[in-house]
Amino acid sequence: MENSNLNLFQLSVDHETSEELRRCSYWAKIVAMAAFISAVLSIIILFIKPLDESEQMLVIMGTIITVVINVVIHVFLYRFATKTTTAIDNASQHDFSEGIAGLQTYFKILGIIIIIVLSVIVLVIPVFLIALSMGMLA
Amino acid sequence: MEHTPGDTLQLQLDPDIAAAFQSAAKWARFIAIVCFIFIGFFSVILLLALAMNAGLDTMENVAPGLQFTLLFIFLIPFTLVMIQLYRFANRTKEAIQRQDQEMLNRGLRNLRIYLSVYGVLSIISIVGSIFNLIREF
Repeated sequence: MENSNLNLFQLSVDHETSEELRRCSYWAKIVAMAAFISAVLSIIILFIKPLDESEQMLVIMGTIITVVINVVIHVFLYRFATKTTTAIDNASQHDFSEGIAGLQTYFKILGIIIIIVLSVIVLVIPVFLIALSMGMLA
Repeated sequence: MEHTPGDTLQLQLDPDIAAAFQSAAKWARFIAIVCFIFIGFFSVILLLALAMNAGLDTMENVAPGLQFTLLFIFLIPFTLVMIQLYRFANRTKEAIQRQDQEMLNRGLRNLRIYLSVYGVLSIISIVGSIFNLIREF
């Protein structure tokens, strides 16, 4: 059954595909590492930079949430990079499957975060406009 | 072990991997479209601000015209990155639907360019953060 499914697909990983995947993995690893370093730097800057009492809690919460989301997203990109490289080196179908699943999850989480951000913007704009008009009336 | 060109490796794009690729392409397309809308919206705001000769509070020492030129320059690599992501999404989806190996390779090339430009921008951003950190001391 599995073999018949495989035969339905004429696509395979030829020399050019494996080279492109290898280069993608290389850059994906750089992007992920840069994101991890950036997360560490954000935390360091947060502790060094003097903040006002009033905005301290908001800035700390905002930075921590951003850093956590950033790290989680890029863990999947890193997984794509490492698993795909291993898959190409060892011709491991299991690692290849996990690597592409990592890429899928990376884009999916990014897309869901964009939907959440857009929803918040859609909700906040009318509230902001109402507050603005009330302020103007007062 | 060296693989000669055209040598088929043991790896296959089985239905599970093809489905994962298609799902990645679907989300990548969505992200690219949202970013294109954002770029368009941002460009309109920049043009309006430029027409009104308004400046940014954070860049008081820089002339408004130069401020917006800098922001437009920032938008160019961002737009190029999104074009590559959009192409990756479309080509990968089409490659799987049509079982086209050449199209798949072209899609992966677009993904590689997307990741490489994104990587360079990330490194520039880290360098900026380090300068920011040094300035705080």
